[in-house]
Amino acid sequence: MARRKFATLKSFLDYIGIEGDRTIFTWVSASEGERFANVIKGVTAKVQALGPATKLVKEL
Amino acid sequence: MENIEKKLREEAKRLLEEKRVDALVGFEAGTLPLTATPCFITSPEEADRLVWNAFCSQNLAKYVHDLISQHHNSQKRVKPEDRKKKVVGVVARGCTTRSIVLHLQERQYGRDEVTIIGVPCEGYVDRKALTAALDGADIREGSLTGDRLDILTAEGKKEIPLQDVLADNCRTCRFNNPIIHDVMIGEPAPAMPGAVQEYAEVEEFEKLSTEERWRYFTKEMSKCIRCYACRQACPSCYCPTCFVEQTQPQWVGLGEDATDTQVFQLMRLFHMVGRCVDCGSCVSVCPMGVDLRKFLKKLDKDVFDFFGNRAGVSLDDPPPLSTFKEDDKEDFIYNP
Amino acid sequence: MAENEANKEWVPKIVAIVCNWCTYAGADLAGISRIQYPPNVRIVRVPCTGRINPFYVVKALQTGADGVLVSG
Repeated sequence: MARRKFATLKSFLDYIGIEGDRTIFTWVSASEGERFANVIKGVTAKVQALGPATKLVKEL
Repeated sequence: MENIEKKLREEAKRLLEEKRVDALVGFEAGTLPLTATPCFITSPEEADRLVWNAFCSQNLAKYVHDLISQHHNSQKRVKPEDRKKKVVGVVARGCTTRSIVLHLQERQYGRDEVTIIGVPCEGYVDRKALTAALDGADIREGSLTGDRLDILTAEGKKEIPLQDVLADNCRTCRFNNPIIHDVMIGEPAPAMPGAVQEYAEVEEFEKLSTEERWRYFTKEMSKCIRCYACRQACPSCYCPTCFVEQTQPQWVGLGEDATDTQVFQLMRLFHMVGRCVDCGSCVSVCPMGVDLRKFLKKLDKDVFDFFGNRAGVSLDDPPPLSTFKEDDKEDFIYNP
Repeated sequence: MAENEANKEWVPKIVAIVCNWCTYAGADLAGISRIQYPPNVRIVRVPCTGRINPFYVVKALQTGADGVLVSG
């Protein structure tokens, strides 16, 4: 169910123009510490490549 | 059309006389020429007020839900054995019945609490398109004969083909005949010719670049004045407290910040995943002409592409986001 | 001080919304095993991925996150 929810959310955010790489979904199980570190590395690299977010950001 | 109207009145009168419905939701002639407005009928004598024509635009399932949930609330403190049952009748076209199916799927009320008078539908007139076709002139008199609208304005007479002013959602409607009904009036209407290209607009928009799509989204949302008319008109929006009015936690700021409006619209739209029946109520009530349909149709397309589900077309389907299959789409899952 | 701030390379702020039983435990294991990973993630723990309202993701983006990771 969560998978269905986020499949549509990601697709919809991409549709309205928020880059797909800003919202990332993945699975990590409790025994996959290594994978968790890799995910964080990958995500950081992806977001780093995109630069700071400008869309939808509220100026406080 | 006259024939359908006559039969509809007879049928409504019969249902009310036999006490098979306590209240009937339908349309009556509006106060302005070429309009129709929802009406609530409780006695057989009033049945003659009912009309059915191409100007009936709202989705009446909203009122069915309102009436029934009000009744449920009024019965909450009554002993179970003393509770009264109330049956609401509704004059329903394809999209209205889809909304009712959706309410039934979401367990909002029982099938025995609603009596559906099904009517065939060949589309309704988009008021904004009609005003644009008349260059904003006020309509003094008007009539519909066959597929032609004869309109008298201050500038003189004008003839407009009905096809030119039909609402966008009606042109590409796939379900213009009732999905479920207790009484059916008239013969089923022919399928709408545009149904095969219902997602053409979405596919075109998908081809644009991310920046162009974002520009379009922000442009449309900057029109929004947050009157919440879309929410009020939407039959799928029935939460007792909407997230915009919730204060603990406060989901959306109430100021005039542009991002708050975008977030409000984004989330209201996203609540329609697999629940939008494309009745066009939100678009027709929007005072600012925000192009909501472009985004709603995308959600509809996604749910159909990913899960093969269309909102409110079968009583046996569970709501798409409350179920899953093992082979659901998972190519969006990130794998380092 | 201000100069130092300006000279610093921009690093993304990422919000990770993670399930208590899967990814949170995975992150814990990564910590116990002393596996190095970038310090840009702020972890929000939820009871289950099903608990996540899509609004959380949108709200994170609105309030200044550069990226959102949802992991179950």
